[in-house]
Amino acid sequence: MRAEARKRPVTAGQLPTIGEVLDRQGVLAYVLLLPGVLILAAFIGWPFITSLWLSVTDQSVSTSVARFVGLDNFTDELRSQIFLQTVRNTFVYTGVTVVIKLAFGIGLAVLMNQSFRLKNLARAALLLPWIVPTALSAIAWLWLFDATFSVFNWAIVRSGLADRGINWLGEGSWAMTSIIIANIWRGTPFFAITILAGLQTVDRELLDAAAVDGASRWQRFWRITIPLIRPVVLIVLLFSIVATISDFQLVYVLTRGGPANSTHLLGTLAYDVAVRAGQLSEGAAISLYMFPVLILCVVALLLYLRRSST
Amino acid sequence: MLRREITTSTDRLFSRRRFIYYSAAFAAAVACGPATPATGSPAASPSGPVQLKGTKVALLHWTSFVPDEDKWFKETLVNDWAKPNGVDLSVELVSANEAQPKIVAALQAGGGPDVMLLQWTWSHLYADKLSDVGAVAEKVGTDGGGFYDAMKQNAQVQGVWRAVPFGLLGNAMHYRESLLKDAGGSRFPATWSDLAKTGADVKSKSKLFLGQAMGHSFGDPPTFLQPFLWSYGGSETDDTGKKIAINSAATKDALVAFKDLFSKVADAQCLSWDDSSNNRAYAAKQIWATLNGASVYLTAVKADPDLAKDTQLALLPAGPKGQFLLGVPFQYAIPKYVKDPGPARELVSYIMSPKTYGGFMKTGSGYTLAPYKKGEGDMWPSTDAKFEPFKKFGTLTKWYGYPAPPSPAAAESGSKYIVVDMFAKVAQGDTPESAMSWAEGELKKVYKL
Repeated sequence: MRAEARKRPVTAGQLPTIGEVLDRQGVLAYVLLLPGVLILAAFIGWPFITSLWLSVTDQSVSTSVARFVGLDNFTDELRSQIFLQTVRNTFVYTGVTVVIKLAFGIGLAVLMNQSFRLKNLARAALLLPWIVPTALSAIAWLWLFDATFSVFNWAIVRSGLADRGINWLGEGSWAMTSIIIANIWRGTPFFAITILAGLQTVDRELLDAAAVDGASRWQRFWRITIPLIRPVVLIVLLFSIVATISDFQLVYVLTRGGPANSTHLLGTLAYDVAVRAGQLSEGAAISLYMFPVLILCVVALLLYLRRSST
Repeated sequence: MLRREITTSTDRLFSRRRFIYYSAAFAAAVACGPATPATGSPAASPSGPVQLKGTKVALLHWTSFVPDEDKWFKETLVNDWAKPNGVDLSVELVSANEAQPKIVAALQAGGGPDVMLLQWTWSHLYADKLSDVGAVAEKVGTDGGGFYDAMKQNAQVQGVWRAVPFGLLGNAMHYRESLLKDAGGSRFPATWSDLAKTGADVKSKSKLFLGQAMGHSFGDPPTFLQPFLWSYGGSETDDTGKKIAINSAATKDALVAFKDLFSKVADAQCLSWDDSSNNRAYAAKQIWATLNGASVYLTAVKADPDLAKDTQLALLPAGPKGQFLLGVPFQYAIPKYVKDPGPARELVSYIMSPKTYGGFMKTGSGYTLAPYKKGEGDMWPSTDAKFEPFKKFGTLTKWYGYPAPPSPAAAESGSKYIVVDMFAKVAQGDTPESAMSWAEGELKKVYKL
């Protein structure tokens, strides 16, 4: 009965039923997309627009009515030594960790692509650092780097390498090194597993043919494997740059930006200024400084990807 | 092409069109909310007594370093006040460093705890969003023999009580008497220059250093470094708060003295320490002295009586301009978003009455000091003579922004750890001039001067 009713012809002046409207593929597609779009708009779009608005006002926790101040918050930050130091920290942290994670990730992926016993177990274990919640693993690293109870220092002193341990989190450059080490430990599995997936799509016949033609192992890897997995590598790079440049948890747990702001990243500084000091608009401006950098990275990588695929 | 016919009842139930119908119906039901009417708390009459029965009060408190204090809030307060009055009291405890994010989020969202424990001069930072609690504060102050000046300064904003002073964490130097004596000392040095000499002797003899937290953490770093600056005559601003005064000869003297002190008696690892690092190091006998609340001593009393016996307490040494102290002050605030503040006010009045507060102080063995003068009199909870230095803490303590009155800018500067980082920079090798100049730039931005 209902199927017949659905098929009834729509005569002039008669509105289609909801069922008839939903039967149109174009309409149905938008209806099904709507929940996702609404969720994105509510949880990403709205906060982003709010932060844009906040960044051009003088809103603080103590003010009830915000005034429009244009780009003052952005220009004011350029006068702050803490902010300039934070920008430098963010680029050093992101640059060093992403390069090392990429190198280690490729190495591990190649290793995991070999056949050996307990291969699947090893692959699962490889993912552990990435699966463990960052805050939790950061606390473990905090103990490892603890000035008094560091197991690294215990090993260094006991093995006779030095009379005293390293001041991991108490000295600027060592503190930066410490958070870089923790980030590399956490992020490398993501590179390794994703690149491993790319490696498994490489046609063995190509490699065998190259071997028959006399190509060395290194030549096969560099001339055949790498070009074939380049799109995967670029996507992983893109994700990692975005995630690392906006990192927060690791640094917040390990150093809170210290000592003397030597490990502050844009994310942690924005949090300190907006939430701890109550300067919401200033914090929003700091966090938005990341945006153009990220956009440039994304556009550059995607353009490169597109060009190489065509 | 084959088209699958919808024939079974299950197919009909889960056809995509029906899926959308059900989703829309569910969304509508969620949007409309529960059918039961909201049960608001009984309104308090402006002139009559507050009706407590059936009301709900949420209290946001810090997690004390003395667990018995937390237990008092979770159990004693609930049993002695909430249950007899029929109030549904929820107590949320958060670490001191995590309290501010929670408070800011609640104030911005316009919803959250009915009573929140503020630290330092936060009442000035959030003044516009906090209720006037003058009636409660005045009565508590009168009953308690009068608030200490610093406590009043922290809670009163332009003559309006934006919070009721709750208490003060006095920080004292905890030190190992035996190690001091081994190095030829008899009592804790009374001046910074003496400490540099004696501390170096103890370090040389015992191989243990003075462990002073200097990281971004709420209590120990500022309570050591702000008084150090003041004791040499340095300050963030002049006494009006209208002129940045950090770049001065007095600050330079303080930084030069600190660099000398730090290199002789401390250790570079202190630069990463937070409020709990020194507690752990002292308990593990890795340091011979540290500035801390009495929790270091109280923990040792329970866990390591020998260490407790060897531990003595002393106030911070004096500089050329005298002895200065900074305790961590706490205040109870009731946000304006609380529609019926009556029960919240009743709760604060109850906690802060000398009778109740005396019980709380006993439970915590005097870790949290009373904000009013009766606290150092009849209410003094400890018979332990080692606690004597804390007795005058309320009188001697200053506030963020001293010598100017507390202000939102001073609170912001404290939250950004500008003075702490200025000293940390010098300890890391910066010149005093460079560190002062850096601090001046940051303070000008904060104070908008």
